[in-house]
Amino acid sequence: MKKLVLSTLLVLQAVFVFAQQNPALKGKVIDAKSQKPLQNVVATIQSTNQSALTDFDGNFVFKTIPTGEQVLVIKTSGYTQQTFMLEPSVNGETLDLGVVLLEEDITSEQQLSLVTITENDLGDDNSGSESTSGLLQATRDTYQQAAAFNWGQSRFRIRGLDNEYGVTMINGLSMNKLYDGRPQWSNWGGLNDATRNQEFTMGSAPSDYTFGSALGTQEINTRASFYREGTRISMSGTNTNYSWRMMGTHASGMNKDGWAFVVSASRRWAEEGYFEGTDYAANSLFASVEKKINDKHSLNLTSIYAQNSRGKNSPNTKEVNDLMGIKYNSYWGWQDGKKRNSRDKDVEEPITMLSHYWKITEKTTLNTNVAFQTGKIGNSRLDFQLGNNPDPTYYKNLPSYFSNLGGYTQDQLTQIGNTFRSNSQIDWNAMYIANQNSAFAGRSVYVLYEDRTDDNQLSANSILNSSISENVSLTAGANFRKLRSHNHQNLLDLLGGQYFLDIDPFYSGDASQSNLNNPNRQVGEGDTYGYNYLLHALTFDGFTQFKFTYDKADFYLAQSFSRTEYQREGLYRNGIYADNSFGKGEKVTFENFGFKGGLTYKLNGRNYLDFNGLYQTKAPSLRNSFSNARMNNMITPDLQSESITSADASYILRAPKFKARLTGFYSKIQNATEISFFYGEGIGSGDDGGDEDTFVSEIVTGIDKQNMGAELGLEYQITSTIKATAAASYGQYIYSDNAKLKTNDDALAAAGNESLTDFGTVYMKNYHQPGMPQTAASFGLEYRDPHFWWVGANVNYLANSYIDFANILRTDNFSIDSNTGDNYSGATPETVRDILKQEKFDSFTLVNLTGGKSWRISKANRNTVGFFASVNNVFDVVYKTGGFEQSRKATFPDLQADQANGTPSFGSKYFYGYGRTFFVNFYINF
Amino acid sequence: MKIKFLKTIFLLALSTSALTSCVGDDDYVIPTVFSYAFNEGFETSPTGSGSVEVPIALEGWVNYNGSTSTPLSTRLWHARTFDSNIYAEFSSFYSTSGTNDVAWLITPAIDLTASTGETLAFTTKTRFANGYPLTAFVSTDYDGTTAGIATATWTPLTFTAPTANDVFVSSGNIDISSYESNNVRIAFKYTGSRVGVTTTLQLDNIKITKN
Repeated sequence: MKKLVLSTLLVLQAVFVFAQQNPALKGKVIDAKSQKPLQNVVATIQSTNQSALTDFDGNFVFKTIPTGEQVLVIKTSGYTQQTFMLEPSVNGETLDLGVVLLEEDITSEQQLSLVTITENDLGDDNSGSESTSGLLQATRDTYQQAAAFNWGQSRFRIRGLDNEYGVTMINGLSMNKLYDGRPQWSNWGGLNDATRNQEFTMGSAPSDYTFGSALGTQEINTRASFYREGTRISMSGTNTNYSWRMMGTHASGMNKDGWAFVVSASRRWAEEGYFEGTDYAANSLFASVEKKINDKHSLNLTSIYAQNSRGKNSPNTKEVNDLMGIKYNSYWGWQDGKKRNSRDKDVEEPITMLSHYWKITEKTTLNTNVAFQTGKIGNSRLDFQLGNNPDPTYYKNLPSYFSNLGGYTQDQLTQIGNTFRSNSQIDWNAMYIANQNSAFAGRSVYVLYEDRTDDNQLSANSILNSSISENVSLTAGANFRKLRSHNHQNLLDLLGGQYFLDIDPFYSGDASQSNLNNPNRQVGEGDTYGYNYLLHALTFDGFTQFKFTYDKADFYLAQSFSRTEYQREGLYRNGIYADNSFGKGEKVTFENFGFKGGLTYKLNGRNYLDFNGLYQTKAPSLRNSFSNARMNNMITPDLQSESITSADASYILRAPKFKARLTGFYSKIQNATEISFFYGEGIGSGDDGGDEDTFVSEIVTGIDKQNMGAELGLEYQITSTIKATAAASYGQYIYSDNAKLKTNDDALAAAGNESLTDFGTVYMKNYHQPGMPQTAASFGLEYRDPHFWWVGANVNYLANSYIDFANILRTDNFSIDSNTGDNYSGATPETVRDILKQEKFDSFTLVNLTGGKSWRISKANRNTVGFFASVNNVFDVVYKTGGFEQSRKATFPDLQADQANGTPSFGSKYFYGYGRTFFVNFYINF
Repeated sequence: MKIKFLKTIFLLALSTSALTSCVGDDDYVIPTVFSYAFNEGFETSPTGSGSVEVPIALEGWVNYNGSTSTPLSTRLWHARTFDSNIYAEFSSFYSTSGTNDVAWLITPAIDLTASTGETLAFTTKTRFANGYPLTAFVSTDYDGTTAGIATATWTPLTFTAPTANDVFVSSGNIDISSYESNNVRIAFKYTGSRVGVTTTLQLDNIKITKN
């Protein structure tokens, strides 16, 4: 008994018990605080995915367990999970764990305060993709917790890897979008309580659900019987991207007839978030119902409906930030006394999922899921024809433009700055007036539209877990996904006009027509115009994984195969690309495979060495497979699968008071493809220095990235109430070789020329991968009072974050004048090196405070009330989280001229992190 | 003991691999920018037009007509401009009948000892061609005097000549990396006469690139 009480302090420990046949393993779970039995707690044998639920009296039973050393996890939401090493002996008595005490996890409240950094956008390319920091929440690893709670706000990425190298799953089904390979977090945003049953793996370590990739996996389990019975209501206030949140969740637990259900609902909203004009409204609903048909079969139906609408925040140049401050957002303007944002993002993609759990034998389970997801994502924007650019920060409105023209005095420039300051927001009223006074009666000059993606996706998978023999277990899975993605421009608001003309006035004749099959169309609100196409994707993948468990060492081997098929189908015949824009294009197919393996060597019960290695190829994303998808069916030239190699090695120490992990990691990604869109000057056609320069898509292929570094997590229990944690990540994430660049220029195609221009090599070797701190360190202290209150503080240092550089500036086009074949005047190795140096952002230190308390409100049951509060960035430090160079000045003399007097018209744009923010959450559990 | 040893080895290996193969902030590559050991495009030379000839008189250059006729021809390489480009030109067409021209245009001493991979290139254009008058040489023992031209060792260079009039043609890249001297001179020699070859020869963009 003494030993078991002690065990509750430890996350992992060995239990030595003599066991025999029938039942193989049993135990009783009670609440450490109330001493009441806990029903519907999940006990899982990790390598096999076999699980059992506790009954009314808190008892759980496994009839058989695989032989060899096994890991048993006992967990339920709201409690600190317990992990046991089982070392069954040969003579086969029942392994009785006795009473297992689960302690309420007050720190789990902290999860709720996680700022959804992931919902911000990185670039202004409007791709609709979410930037990263995910795969982070709710883990027990000291290092990962620091990465999530302390570094997440500054866009730290574990191992410098993008989310597309991780797999986020709900019930084993991948939620990574086929479009860009990243999960759309908004699809289940605000449902923190309902998505709390999660499992993580780091790096390429084996998962029981998928083959995975180099970053890791996150599995969210929504099986209704796995939720702890009870009701929980919480109310939060914050000043981040939203102001208020209400959330309620109820779980029934499994009743006598074998039914269990969970429902959850939340609402988050803000009239204005941290940055100006960023409104926020999100409603989320969740329901999961399980019916246990018999001992072998259970069915579960999950429905998730999360709707999210928010106003975006503009990245700004230094000039604009100096004039307006870092909270400035150029996307909004006053209309009828309200702030209206012109760049809203709306996500509404409900998911329905049917799961079947089949215990084929005591040693084998089969889990099959079928899901359907439908809905829409819209990103709104202003469009205009024959009018002035409505963007208040349009370069001709800024002092820099006049300063670069020359001939203006400082006083005049200051005055221009003042004029900008008083006209710094979108002028909705002026657009209404312009539409009323249109040269063509009724025809809008300005309209608001959205780039819409309407996806329908069917997914299905089956996962088999089986203990083949004493020491060997098998996991095998198959996945299928079929996507029909309808992408189009949807007219939202004519802004007082009667119609908008569906042409591109930049061109004339056929080239100006969006759709030759229906030319010169007048469009109204709710109509599709501009571009209109379908993307079809069909993927299949399968994997097998064998785990071997022995006294001294565990090891595993896994392999995967996948087949991916993409096709574009144009619904418009574009005037510039009449021959290859309408109807179905060529199919592009990729076949990929992967191998991985790893070893855990147990030096003794406290010291472990762990090694993992992975090699796989990965199909390019749908986004990167069609280089000019809005216009035509062209497949990205030189498109290839990526190859990914990764390895890590760790030393792990698990002593009663001291836990440590040190990991060295290395990954190499080769042949990656990136497509982006911008207005350029000095790159082929239209290079007359005029202001309507050519719109090009930039295709960079053969990108090689190398990420290496070390990560460290330390946790020391100084006394029974005081804990110190330290975490650090030192990485070097670079481009390890040069790449190739081509552009596709619609203006060239419109003039009857080849639209692709080959720019040859992009000299990017040894540039740093942008947009994340490559060095991070954290130190924290936490005091947990026995009377159920706690406080914590941590200090974090973040450094070595770099700007996203413009690729086109790193080609020979930048330095060599194509007319002479020689250097541009003034271009020497020194001047070129100087002007192309990658900007490194200042390092910064953030201090965060957290604390909470809970009270039991009834002696008879587990009812509690409590609160959690945190203050992030206590000292209100101003820091950049990212930024990008503009590509518009693409040659040395142009760029030099733009930068000559220190106020470039096309300087880099930056994103800033939040200043001091707070989060307060009150909750009731009953 | 064994555990301690394994642990130490592991940690050592980890820190060694982390510390090696580090890339500094200034190790990035840049697009092609040619560096020149020598680069002359005659853009600063004063030009003449019509019958006015302004001889090339750049610092360190030797511009000399080694005419052997009687009377001697004294005409020299001179700068002209066309389409806002300045170049050096010579033609025997305006020389006096009965004279011959051996017009040398020789670069200053160029130091190639500190660099490697040197490549010479220049462009030439012909007009009214009736024979090709230009030869090019390299020397490392020329003393810079007009008298020294005759005694220096001149190694002929092979280059691409234009096959049609009125267009500048590149000589192609001529490897001169074997000349490890601080007295490398490139010489251009026009050989013609009023009654013989009178081709107008224009010379421009004499460049030696280095690594």
